Amino acid sequence: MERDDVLEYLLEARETLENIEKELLHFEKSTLDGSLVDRELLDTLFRHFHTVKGSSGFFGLTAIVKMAHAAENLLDYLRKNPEAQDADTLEFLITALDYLNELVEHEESSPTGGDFFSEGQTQFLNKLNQKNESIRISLTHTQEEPSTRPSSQEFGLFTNEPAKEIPKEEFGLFTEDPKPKIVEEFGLFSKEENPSTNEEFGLFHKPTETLPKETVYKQEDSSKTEKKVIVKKDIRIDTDKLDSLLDIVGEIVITEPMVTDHPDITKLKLENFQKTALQLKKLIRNLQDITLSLRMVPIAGVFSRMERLVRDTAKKTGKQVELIISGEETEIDKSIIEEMYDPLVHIIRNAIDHGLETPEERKEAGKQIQGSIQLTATQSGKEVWIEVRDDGKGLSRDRILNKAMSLGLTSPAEAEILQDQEVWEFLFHPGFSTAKEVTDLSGRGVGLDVVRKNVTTLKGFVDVFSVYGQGTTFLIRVPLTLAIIEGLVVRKSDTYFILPSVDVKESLYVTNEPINELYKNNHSIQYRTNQISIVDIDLLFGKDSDLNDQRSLKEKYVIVTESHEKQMGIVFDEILGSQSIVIKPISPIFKNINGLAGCTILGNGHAGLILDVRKLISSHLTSVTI
Amino acid sequence: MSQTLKSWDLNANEDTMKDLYLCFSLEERDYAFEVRHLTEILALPAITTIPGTAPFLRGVINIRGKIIPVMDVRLRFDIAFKAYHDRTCVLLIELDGLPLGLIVDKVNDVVRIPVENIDLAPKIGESRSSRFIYATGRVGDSVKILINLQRLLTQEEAHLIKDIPGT
Repeated sequence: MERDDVLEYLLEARETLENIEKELLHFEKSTLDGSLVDRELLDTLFRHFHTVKGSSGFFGLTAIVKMAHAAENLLDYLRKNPEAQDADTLEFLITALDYLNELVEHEESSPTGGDFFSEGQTQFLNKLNQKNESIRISLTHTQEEPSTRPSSQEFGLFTNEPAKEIPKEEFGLFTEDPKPKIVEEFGLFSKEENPSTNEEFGLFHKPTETLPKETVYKQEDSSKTEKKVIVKKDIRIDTDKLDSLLDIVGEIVITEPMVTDHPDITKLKLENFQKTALQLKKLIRNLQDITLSLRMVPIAGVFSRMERLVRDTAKKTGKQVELIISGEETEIDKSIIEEMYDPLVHIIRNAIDHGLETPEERKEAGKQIQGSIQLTATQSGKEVWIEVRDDGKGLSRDRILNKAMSLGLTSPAEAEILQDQEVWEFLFHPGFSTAKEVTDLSGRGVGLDVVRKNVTTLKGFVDVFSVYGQGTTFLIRVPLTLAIIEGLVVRKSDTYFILPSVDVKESLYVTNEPINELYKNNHSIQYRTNQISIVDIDLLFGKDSDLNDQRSLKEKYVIVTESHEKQMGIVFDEILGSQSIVIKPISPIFKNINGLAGCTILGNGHAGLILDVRKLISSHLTSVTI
Repeated sequence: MSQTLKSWDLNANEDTMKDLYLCFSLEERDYAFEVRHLTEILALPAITTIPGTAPFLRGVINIRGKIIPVMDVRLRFDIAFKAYHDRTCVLLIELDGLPLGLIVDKVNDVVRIPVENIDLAPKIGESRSSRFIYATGRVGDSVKILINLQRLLTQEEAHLIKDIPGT
């Protein structure tokens, strides 16, 4: 078996397991009030486990097969005997899911032939099998099923007890007896239409036209259609192909004006040509928009993973929490989405652990017993705003200030006049949260500095808002995509540079500003009330500064950049304007260049160099002091 | 503007490609390297200099949306810089997936140099550029200097590329 095939399958398996998780949480929610779980939900779960089992068997991943098989058995008994459901069986299913995830992950990173690799896994499997056995015994007693039924449908290869009664889950490929096809068949091998399911594994299955779902499953229609909006049809694409597509489209965009405004035709009167050219321009613009959006995926994937986190954290802390998700269809660059997971986990876990009160406390405060966490995504211009809002007790100004003072971050006199917003900022201070009393009492702050760091690397921002007694809101703002940034295009001699707009504070045109030479290669000018260091871009790359030769800046531009509250002016010859920049990596041949973040191609066909302003500032200011 | 090798590339199998060398000249001397490393020959586009790098790395160029580093082979061979002109060419090569443009004065032609006409170079002199040379190839009455593309990059950079014959 090719390793690539296995890896591709494991990716698929992960998706199925994610679906299982979603369904299991739905299972839990719908049975909270003691009602029995929906038969259809059981069927769906069964089918997912069956898919995992069947395909894993094909790849020889026996541990996964055994685990999925046991879970499948349990589900099957539940179907036949819904009253056997309890929190215990659900817990079994969730744990089985966790072990499956673990096995899949293990198989991805260190393939060992597909067997169990930890004691816990085998122990759990035994427990699950015992549970199945006990249910089976009670079932046969109550239902008086003929225990002498032929067991030829068994999928005997991996099961420990070949005589067990599981008539419905044979793996059709190997069965000798093509017995009645039952609703939950794995569609790949089924020739018959399954008349009662509307969520078939569509890839291999013909749609069932005669499905009377409107009448039968009316009560679920709303939730189903809602889900359908998010679960889009997709296709996996090699990112290299995607990148070359983006390259070509980028090139078309650049070439278009070269053709339509070609010097050879500018003097000609070509009315019809101009019309067609305009049409072409529009089409190219559309083409560019679509290609750029190819990397964008809905944030729903990350959001739905929070459901499980909320459930587990709530259980652990003994709190009742409702997670309200909205805006999950908001699209964002895939690489950013992956980076959003950790910060969100951190913030949500903190919100439950420290933000929300216990049911008793909430009752006392006159709130609903169940706390709520709202997870919302919205697109705002070229940013996506992700908001985590809880209705817990809010941040305590006094406690945070006490902690800040004990760390020497502020003084009592200063603390008096600080705005709330400035007080909350202390939470992002590294090491702020390590002290026990703050995390236990007023909460928040556990590693929030790390959250901010993660988000900052994505060129985003994290802010916190809070009203004491009413709750806390974290707002994360990240750009829609990392491949494109807003940048200021500038020129120095023949070279074009791009400064990311987020790093630019102000640009100044200077005609005759005096500059102070502190010593060679170290200059400063008066900017507002401060003296700030100014440099020639050459200096930052190890050459002598042009500023050494002249005492004043004549017809030059100073771009004031800022990073971590440190400012530096960089001198350029010309500013060409602000535009969206497609970032391309720089060849590894140029190593040890510290100040460049990448390359881009400008509208005039030139390659432009994207400056890494943060690095430039920090390396310059460590070598120079004003 | 550009002349790709794709058209005849299709007909060439590995064996016939093996003996083919692309010849270019610098200061009246003929150099050659295996044609299979060549992807394209281009007129010189605008170069964006990258500050803070070795002088022979002239910067980057934009080839149909791809940013590709270019090296001035004269400077690499320690020959004095000569201003670029209309005939200056960029030979686009690919070494182990890493694209690189070579700036040369003049491209000549593609010649076939069978293995029996290749003599491995003895250690010639002390010149630094001799380390880029690995053999000489006889073509009729003339001699082509066969260069080792991998060594065009400095020692430290060479780890980025591997499996170039003649090393």
